[in-house]
Amino acid sequence: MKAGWTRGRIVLLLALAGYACLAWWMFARKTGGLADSRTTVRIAHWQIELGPPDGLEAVIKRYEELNPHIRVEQVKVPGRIYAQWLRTNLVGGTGADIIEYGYFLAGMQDVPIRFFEPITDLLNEPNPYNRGTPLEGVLWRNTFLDGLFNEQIYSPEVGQIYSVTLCQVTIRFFCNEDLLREIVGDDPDFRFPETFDELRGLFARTREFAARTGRPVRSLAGAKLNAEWLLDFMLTSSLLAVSVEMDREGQLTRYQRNVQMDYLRGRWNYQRPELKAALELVREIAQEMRPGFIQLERDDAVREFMNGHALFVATGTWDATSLIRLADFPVSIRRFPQPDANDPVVGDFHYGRAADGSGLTAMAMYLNKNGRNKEAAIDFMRFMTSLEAGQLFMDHSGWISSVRETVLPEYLEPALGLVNGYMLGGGYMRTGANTAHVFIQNMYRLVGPQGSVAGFIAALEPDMTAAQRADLRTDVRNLTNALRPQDAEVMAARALNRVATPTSANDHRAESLETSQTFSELNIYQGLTVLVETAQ
Amino acid sequence: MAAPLTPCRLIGFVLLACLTALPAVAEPKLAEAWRKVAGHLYTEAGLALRGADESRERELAATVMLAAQQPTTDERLREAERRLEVLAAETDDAVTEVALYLAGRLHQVHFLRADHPRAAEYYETLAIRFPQGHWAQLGLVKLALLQLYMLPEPGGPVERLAKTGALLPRVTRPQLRRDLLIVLGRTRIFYDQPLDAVLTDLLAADEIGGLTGPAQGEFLLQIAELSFWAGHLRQSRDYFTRYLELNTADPRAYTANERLKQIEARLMAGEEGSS
Repeated sequence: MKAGWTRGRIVLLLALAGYACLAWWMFARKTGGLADSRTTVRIAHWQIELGPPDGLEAVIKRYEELNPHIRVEQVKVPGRIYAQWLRTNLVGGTGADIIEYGYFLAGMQDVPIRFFEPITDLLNEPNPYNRGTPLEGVLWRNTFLDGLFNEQIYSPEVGQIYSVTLCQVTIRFFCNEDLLREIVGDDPDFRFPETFDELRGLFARTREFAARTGRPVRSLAGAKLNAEWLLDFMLTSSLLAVSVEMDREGQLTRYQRNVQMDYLRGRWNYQRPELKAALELVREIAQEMRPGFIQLERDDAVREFMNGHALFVATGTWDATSLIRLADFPVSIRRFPQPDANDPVVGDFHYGRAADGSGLTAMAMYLNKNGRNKEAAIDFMRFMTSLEAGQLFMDHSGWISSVRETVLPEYLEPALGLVNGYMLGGGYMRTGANTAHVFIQNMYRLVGPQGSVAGFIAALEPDMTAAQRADLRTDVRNLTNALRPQDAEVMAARALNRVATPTSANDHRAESLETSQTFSELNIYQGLTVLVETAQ
Repeated sequence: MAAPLTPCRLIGFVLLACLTALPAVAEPKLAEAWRKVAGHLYTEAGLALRGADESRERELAATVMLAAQQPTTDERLREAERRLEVLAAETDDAVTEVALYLAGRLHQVHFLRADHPRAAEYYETLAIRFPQGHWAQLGLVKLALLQLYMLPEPGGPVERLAKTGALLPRVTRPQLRRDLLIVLGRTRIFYDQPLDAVLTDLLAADEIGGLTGPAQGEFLLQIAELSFWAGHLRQSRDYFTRYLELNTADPRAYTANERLKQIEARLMAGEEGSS
């Protein structure tokens, strides 16, 4: 009897001790430790490769020095599970305070409007963390290299901006300097090509070098994705005149849906002489890559370049640090030489110089509407995109900062995207998943050894109409999906001014949503009208 | 000297305090529910709403939540429409106006298959019952969009534009009138109407003003570029200049600056352009 009572007490004591441990663990986990009473801001992203986490860590360290009452935690999530992770946490109310998101994440178009908060008004004020710098007094959105252009174009809510960016990505030629010296020899007149026609000359010398030495050397390292980046840029920059002609809306850019609608309404197709000439240029460039490159992945192109078998690899500036550090030869970063008015292939249709690379900023960070520490999160967003933090991010990540006035390391200077030319939009290679599929699927007919522009167009055009229709339908569907949840928000903002103390913030939010909905519906109905008008 | 605080008195005080607090609690519960709706937290909004007093405002909030709840089903939307119609039939107040607007929205964008004529009927009814009301005038903007693109009649672009233009005098609230003018102008572009007609609408919208941020930038740019094509060089210069004052980093600033150079060259060459 006595033994039983003792066993019971022991069990009870153990249970209590277990409960106490669990309670302590829960408390410690939630607050970041018993001794840590700081406000925690969590920032989630998928850039887990070398570079960005270090850059962010340096930014966080400095921020915590300035704000000892706030702790910032990076939540690094692998890209392949990011979308599922994001939705699960947002729906469950456990999302981070600041979240990386991309308009290109499939099946996630409803997420921004449901879970993120627009920050347009904040962006129309100076960033306080830029006091005492050349960016003091500059509107926050104008402190970014591109004025957050992509964040406007792909905003879930017309006229609103939801995110700030951390880096700039640009496609560039990375050049094997040793190989270049071998190819051009002691030619005292050699200077790096500035026009595409001059680049043709260098391509010819490379072919001649390979033939003379018997070395398997090509001008361009080849892989499907690298080729797509390069060819897309060459098409866009060669077709500026067509983009201007198509821009009947006067937007000085081309929204994908406008490109789709114009195609379906017969305003452009691949039979136009400008398009044929630009495709001829594309075919010419692709001949400088090894046969069968369409079957190869990015890593194959990098390996070809690192093995000294290619003079250039066309890739993003995100690869700059690793290419420069890992290659056993000097690597320089070069801008794309562009065709000019004298170009024998596309010169007749020349409009002007295209902006160098895209020059657009990326790694977009959104504010969680239901985040626990929204004010602290906004404060950190301001800091991480300030001049000081932009410099820290770049210095520690090797990625170009999105912030103006940051000082580039010398080796990254040619990688900086400059808006020193026209940037009028494109969409000649793809306006969405379906058009991309049709274009890429048929690309071998253009760039293959037996390929031709005529054969490519003949195969492409019959499928392109259906693909443009499918992409336009997707665009309309995405806009509609983003639109629906806004009704409840508009009504709530207006209702709060009826049932609680009215605030101008509620009125302002409702007004901006109503205007945005109206403009979105205009886009939706124009798309639907074209789909009906052009139905077979 | 104060009376001693006996247990009975203490209970009495507590009850009294609870009674006086009741209305004050009920009102914030409704506000809290709407705040949760604004954050798209419908489960939490539903919980908050349980503590709110029965009222037409409470029923409206419950119906908005019903319509917004995921996953959306047509059955649930039909139930929401039925409850909105009940609200609209009871009396003419602020709730009625919202209810009729939302009923129109259900048919315009929420049901799996939109019923645009039915949505238009709701907006027409709303505008007749509350001609000066905010939701009624917003409904007229939606009606305009439907007339311009989705309703079967009238058929041709010119007729659609004329019929919708007739709605304009009824939309007197500045923000909504501005938006309708922009819709009209951009629709004229879509239907290949003369540039001067487009610009008339857009300039009238600019006189009302109020756009901010990217929407304003794109709007100014649009007037500037269309004016350039229409040969209104000075007007174009003014709008490009206004755009550049606000947008120093946008990549389109390069093109805008190039346009300004072209305009100056043409003006110097004696091409005055109108306005």
